[in-house]
Amino acid sequence: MNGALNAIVPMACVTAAGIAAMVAESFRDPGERMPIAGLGAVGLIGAAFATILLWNHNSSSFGLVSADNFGLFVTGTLIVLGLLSLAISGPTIERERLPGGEYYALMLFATAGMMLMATATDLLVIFLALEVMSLAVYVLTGIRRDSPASTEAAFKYFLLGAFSSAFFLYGIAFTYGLAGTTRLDKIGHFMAAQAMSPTLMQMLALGLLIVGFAFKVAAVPFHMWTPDAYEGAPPAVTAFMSTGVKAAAFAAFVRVFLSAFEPMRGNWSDVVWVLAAATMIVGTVAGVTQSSVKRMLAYSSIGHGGYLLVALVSGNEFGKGAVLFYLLTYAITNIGAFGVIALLDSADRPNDQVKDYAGLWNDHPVLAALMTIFLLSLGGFPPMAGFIAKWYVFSAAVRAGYTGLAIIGVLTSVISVFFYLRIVVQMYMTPSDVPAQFPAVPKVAAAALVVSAILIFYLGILPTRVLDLAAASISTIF
Amino acid sequence: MALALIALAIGSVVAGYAGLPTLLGGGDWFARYLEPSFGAAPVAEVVEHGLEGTLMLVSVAAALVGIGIASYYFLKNRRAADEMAGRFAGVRTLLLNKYYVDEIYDATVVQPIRILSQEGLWKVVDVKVIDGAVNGVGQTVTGSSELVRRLQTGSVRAYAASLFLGVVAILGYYLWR
Amino acid sequence: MSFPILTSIVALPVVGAFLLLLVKGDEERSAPLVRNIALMVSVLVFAETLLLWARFNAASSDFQFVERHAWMPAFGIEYFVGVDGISLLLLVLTAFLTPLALLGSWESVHKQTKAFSIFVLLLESAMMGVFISLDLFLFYIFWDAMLVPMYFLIGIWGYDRRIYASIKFMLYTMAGSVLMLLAILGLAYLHYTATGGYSFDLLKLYDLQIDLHLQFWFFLAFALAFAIKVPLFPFHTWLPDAHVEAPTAGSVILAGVMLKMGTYGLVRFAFPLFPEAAAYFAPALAVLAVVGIIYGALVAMVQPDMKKLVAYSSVSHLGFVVLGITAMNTQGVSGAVYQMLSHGISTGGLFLIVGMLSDRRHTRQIVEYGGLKKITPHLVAAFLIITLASIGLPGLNGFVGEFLILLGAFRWDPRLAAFAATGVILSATYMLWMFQRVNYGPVTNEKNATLSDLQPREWVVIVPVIAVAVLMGVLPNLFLRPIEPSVERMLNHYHQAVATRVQANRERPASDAPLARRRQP
Repeated sequence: MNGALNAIVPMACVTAAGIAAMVAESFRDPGERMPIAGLGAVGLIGAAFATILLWNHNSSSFGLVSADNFGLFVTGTLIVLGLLSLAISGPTIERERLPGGEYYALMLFATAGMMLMATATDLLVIFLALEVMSLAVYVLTGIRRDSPASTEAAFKYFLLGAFSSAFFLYGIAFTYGLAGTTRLDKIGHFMAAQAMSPTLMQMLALGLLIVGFAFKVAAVPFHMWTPDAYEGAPPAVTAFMSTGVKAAAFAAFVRVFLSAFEPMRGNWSDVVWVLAAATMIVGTVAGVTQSSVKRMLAYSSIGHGGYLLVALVSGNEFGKGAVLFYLLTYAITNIGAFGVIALLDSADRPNDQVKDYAGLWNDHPVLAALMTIFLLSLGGFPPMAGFIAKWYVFSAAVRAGYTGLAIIGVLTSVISVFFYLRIVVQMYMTPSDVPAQFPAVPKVAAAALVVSAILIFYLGILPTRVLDLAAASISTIF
Repeated sequence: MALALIALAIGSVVAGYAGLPTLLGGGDWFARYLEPSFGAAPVAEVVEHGLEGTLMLVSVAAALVGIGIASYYFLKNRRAADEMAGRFAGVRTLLLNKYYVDEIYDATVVQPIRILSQEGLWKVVDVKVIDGAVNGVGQTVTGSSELVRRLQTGSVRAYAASLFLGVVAILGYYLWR
Repeated sequence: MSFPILTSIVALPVVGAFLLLLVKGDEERSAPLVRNIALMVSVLVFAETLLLWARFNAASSDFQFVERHAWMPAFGIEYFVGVDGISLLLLVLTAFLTPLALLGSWESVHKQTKAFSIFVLLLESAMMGVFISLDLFLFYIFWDAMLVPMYFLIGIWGYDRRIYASIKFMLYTMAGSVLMLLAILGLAYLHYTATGGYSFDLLKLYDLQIDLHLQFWFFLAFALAFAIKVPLFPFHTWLPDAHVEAPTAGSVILAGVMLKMGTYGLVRFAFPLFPEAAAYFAPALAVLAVVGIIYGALVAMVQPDMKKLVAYSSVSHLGFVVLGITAMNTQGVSGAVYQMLSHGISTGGLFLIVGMLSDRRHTRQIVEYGGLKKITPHLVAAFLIITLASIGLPGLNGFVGEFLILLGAFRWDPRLAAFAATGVILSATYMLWMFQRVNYGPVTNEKNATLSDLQPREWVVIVPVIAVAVLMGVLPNLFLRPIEPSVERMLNHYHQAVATRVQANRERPASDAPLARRRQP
């Protein structure tokens, strides 16, 4: 087999699974139950095997896609979050009578796009992957066709996404005009040569690319779509979206800015500094008075994006490793939290207000305990993974001298604890006056959540192996 | 109660014997016993017996006079005591109430401190000022949150405008540089 | 010592918590079993700490029973634990108070007993961890981890304003701690610039010589976190709320142990790591401490709620401890450590007694009581002894600590000691006045007429406390002997550092001093 295609094997597995899902769906009689999610899982597991085999091989396909350790680590994260998302989607699909086959197929295609985005080494391929991922996610957001809220959310996301993609493409065009290529390594050489006196066009290109990425990672002030999109989409989709899109976008962001545009660091670091600070502050402060749990978690996701930006700006070994580790822990934790929301979401009552969680401890003690673990990890409490991730990020910031960002970061962490704890207060400390109307908890989804919780503790107490993996991933490209 | 007094009385009679001064024929054993603790330089053994003797006599005389007066007024001639009380009523009340020392303390020291602590320190400083500052921090955050919350209008155009503003800001910054 | 006794002390309560998770059955049937298991586990932990004490070499000032394993080598983080004279007795105190707290709650906690016991055990584990950690990362983990069970304890089983109190406690403490987190990271980074390797090893960081103005910030960050915990005036306002709203077990553990972590942190971390900055800020801290002593006492005096009164009394008593620490001499610091222990015992005892009263009458307002001496003489007798211990009557534990502290403080700054001494008088004022209103005089409220005296369970709870209070009062050397060598060692390190810095400043201009340097051992 021609070795040139090795780097895209994981992606190919997932795409194949997506196609198989569509085909299976077309052959399915209405009412017939087919394990399409299982197909997806098989594809993802196949991709996992491929990832493990490709580790440390640094194989590159046509110079456009490079399966270096960095990309493979993110691919691994995407596989984990893909599996978890598949697991928690089942109840939602059944309950809302969503088109199952299409749902899974879209999810798999989105995952393929994300994997491509994480391993791409060419700006146009990144853009291509961005669009593949985004289009699938837009459709998933609006997949509840009979819900006007969902449709509105999808539409907003799509419009704004298209708007920002235009800026991104414009930035790529400028870069091509300057460097004569869209390959990241060659751009890097060009930028290094030009480092002494960057031209206006270079800086504009930089700015436009920042805008494009900032939208996807929901940095302030490009974040406005996030609360609406996260609230309108079905929680299982939100779980997938909030983690996967961020992971892929950050992977590409890091790759582009810390390798190709690294020589121009002096020009983009202050802009990203401001983005990071604004994102952390706005994301956390706005979350304080939310009454809808999904919106609150949307703002919390925005805040977490801010921490990732801090790691990006720090840029040293710690910063790059921190991005990887943070993405992994954040993915698992966020899927867990939205997973619980998905399980509690019933057809007639969305159960989305904070006060709907009152007394959950008495009715569903296991779910309440799981939710507590996820919320505490998001808040950064030891001994959970979220703490180690934040530690890593702040280490990077202190090391790089960004003390101001670090202080903003830790203080916003404290504020965020407040709104995470509000849900905990409702679950444990408030008696529920309305009798519980939560649906029964299905096995697969519950198992996925329990696995997530165990992983969180594992990553929180014995993170060494994963930390070493993350550290090992950096050296390959930078 | 009486038993206790009897015991104390016996004790007080004999206890003085331990330190009986040389003037009266004793050996001043107690002082000598304590000497090592104080590293006493041997003061001239010749203490002014005159002064010591005078002091002893005066104190004993005062005690005897007091006992005499009390036994006259309270044991022998009760009515004379009541008469005295009647004539010097004001002084008697003063003495009866222990010079009102307790009440003076209460008014000048105890109550002011108590009121100062309760109204001043507790209710004002602790609750309003210090705790107010603490709660104030919380309220500032909540207040800002309400403000920020209103920015999320739900209108796509507003969102796009915000996005555009961001673009303008970033590109403007670069143009300015 | 090949058996990892320190790890087992931390791990045993967690194991107990897991065991409790396995207990099935609803509240009615499972509660007795749950209570007994929790009690047994905590007593076992106490036995282990006694064993630790027995095997401890009181003559040595080094850390003993040290366990050291690599944990995250990339960061320089290790699992590094050890115990010395200062932390040993704090471990014993924690282990001593936990079973008493659990036992004291048998009457007052009726819902979700399993979860309650689990949280208490997890809290115990975290607290033990704080005292034995010698790696700053590990210390921070336990320090933050301690907040979660306490938050739940107050928030679920507390009284009316429990949600406000628990969130206030959590956020206030965390806000102070996170700045300490940054300082810890900064320290590791400085170690890296000085020696080329990251490390969070406390002993190595002790030897680090840090540029003065950086030291100021680090010291302030650490001191803020600890000042909030102590609590030092004016960062104390979370304490009255937390104490009043917490259930009895929560208050006992909070006052008995958790507050000591602030003062422990000052002695173990803030002062020795940043000696020069500490010397600079010590007078300010001392003034705040003395203000706290007097302010806490005055405000305590006028509280209508017994628990709040005791809460403010803690502010006052711990002001003494901080004063002793800032004096930085043998009497001051030994007195401070001793006072940490004795305050734990006497205030723990006070909260247990108040808990017994509130179990009976469901109120903590002083006006609701009166004349209890005739109704519950044994309870009142125990109450009296604990009250006297808290005041610092010679012969009981409070006296030794306060006396040593005042002695140490006087040698350092007589004016502060003079003011602080008034605190002793004031503490007698508020405690005795409260005691009189509650226990003496006529029975003013007829609901009190039928109260029951000490139950057997309550005897078991209160007698050990009284016994230890008396023991600490008449045989203080038993407790002082292990403390002193470690205190000496810390003071030597501190004074040496301050002296060399003064010397160095005379010899060399400050501008070419590097950020951080390995100290000459």
